[in-house]
Amino acid sequence: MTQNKNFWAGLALGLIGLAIIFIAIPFGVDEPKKIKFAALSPAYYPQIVAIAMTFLGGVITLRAVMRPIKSNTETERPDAVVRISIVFVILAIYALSITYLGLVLAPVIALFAFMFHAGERRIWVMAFIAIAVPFGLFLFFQKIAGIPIPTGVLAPLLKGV
Amino acid sequence: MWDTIQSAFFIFATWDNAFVLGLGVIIGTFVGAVPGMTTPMAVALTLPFTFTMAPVTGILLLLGVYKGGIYGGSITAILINAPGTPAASCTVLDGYPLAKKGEARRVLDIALYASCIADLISNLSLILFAGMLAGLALAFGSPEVFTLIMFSLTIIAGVSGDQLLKGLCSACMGLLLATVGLDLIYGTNRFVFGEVQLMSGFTFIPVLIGLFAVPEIIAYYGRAETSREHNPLAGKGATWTDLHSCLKTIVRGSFIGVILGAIPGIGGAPAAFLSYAEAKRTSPNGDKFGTGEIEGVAAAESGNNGVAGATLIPLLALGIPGDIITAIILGAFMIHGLRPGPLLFQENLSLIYALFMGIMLSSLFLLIVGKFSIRIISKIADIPHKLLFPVVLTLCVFGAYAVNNTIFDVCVMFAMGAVGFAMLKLEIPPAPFLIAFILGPLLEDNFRQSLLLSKGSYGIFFSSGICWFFWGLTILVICLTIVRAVKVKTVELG
Repeated sequence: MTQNKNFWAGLALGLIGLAIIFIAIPFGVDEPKKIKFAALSPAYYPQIVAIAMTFLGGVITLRAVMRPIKSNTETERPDAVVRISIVFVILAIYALSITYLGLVLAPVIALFAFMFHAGERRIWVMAFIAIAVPFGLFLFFQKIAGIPIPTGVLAPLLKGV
Repeated sequence: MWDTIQSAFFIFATWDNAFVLGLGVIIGTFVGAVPGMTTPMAVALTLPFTFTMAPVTGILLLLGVYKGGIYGGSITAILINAPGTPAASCTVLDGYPLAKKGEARRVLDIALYASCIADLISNLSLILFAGMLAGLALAFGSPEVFTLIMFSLTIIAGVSGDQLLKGLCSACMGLLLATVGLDLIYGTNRFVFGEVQLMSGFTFIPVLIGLFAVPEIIAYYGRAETSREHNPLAGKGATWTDLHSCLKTIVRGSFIGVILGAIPGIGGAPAAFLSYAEAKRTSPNGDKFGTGEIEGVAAAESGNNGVAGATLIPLLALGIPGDIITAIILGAFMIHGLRPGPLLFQENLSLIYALFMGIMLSSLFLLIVGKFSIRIISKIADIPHKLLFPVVLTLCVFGAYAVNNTIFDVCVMFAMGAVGFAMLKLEIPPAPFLIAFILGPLLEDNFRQSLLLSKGSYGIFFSSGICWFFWGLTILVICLTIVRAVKVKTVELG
């Protein structure tokens, strides 16, 4: 529903703007003791932008309340919420495990999980892609581009590679 | 004069030069196409190999990598919605929607033609107008750049479609995100909250990938499978008619790139956006921009490639590097005992002419390498999504990591992916966010530098003809946007 979306979008944007004005700027911007004039303050420019954002967010919310708009047709699956929630769970585990598992093993597992979740069931295809792609990228970045890739728990195995 | 050209030809016309130039274009195209591997990174990695080469050979290798890299950045932008370089971020807007319709090969072809033509025009401008453009570039101080960026930001109205208010809010978010890091003037923290990694601000590539590629991948898992509509252009390359219809846009975009490229510190991204904005305003298909319009791709690519030759103007004519890449190339000149600037034109004119010959040849190499690679690369779009999207995500993770060698950037990419997905669901256009995030630092830096120069007087923003020119254009565009919106409303009501 576009109208609902506009309402929530406006509300979210307005609240983000307010949070920046009243929380992020006072606590997150270190102002020097002596400033020649207001416009040179590190908080001046973010403040202007945040005020504009809050105002625009408010206008979007008000318009959504006052002017009904036709709803949009969605092309989502019936179980979309569950499926997307699973994606977010995998992404969260992926992000949290990279430091420990390294940038080779974590992508292998995540790649396998994402392909399976997408509906691929050929185990050999999934295994081949899940192993070949991260290892190929590891070799490219480590050996050709000279960028050290964190190997995590696989460090003893990949030391000589 | 003739003797100089003759001796320049003998310096240039060697197999070594032709080989390294071609190799440089191939390396640049490949590296540019990997998200996270930026063109400056590729040029920097190539620099040590030039130490033992002849000066012209070494510099041509770096120039080949530079030119290939700028084109290569557009490949992933078109195919997987992940721009390889910030300059290619504008190409995403129309390139990816066209690739999704099955027209990957056609759009890659147009991107290549636009890149090559813009590169050629940029090279010719370097050769013919270096002195004049260097003079114009010197007239651009902080207030002039500020007004130029203000004008560039008017494109936000264009890319927001029928969601202008949300587009403006999206731009505000981009501007705010760009303020994270150390303050330019006082060196104090802004929105750092004790996180050391945030002191240098957010890096472009993880934010761009997170905002465009990741939400598309997440959304795929919730989308109902639909059979792809039959598209007669699927799998086909660009035709002469396609190129002809975009030619005016390409030439205009090239000159925008040339002028902006000659100004130190501007870069390819603003040129691409400005070229795109002009094309959208003047094209009869302007309303279709952002939904998959081939002219939009041509405009973006000609804008960012038009910069390539022109960035060498302040370097060669004045000895001023305009960006990171030309700074590295300046380093290469100095390693070989050469100091770019007016003296170089007096003492080593034949070397300069030899470089010009190589630069001209690089456009041809770009066309050959690009044409050859498109046949293979365009097949990527045909890979089933259930395999392609997970692989793209892996590529994005490595790309985000490789920019600064830090896991923090990978987390930034994931976080931006979640933000991008929320924006997708709430129908907040991401393009204004992207434009504002890229142009934001330039806008704020020049705004505050100008005020520092004028001791707080806002009159500095009206102090020169260039400032007035860009203010005039900005007001004109805003008025035209309002008039157009009123017209649309009148038609809807009546």
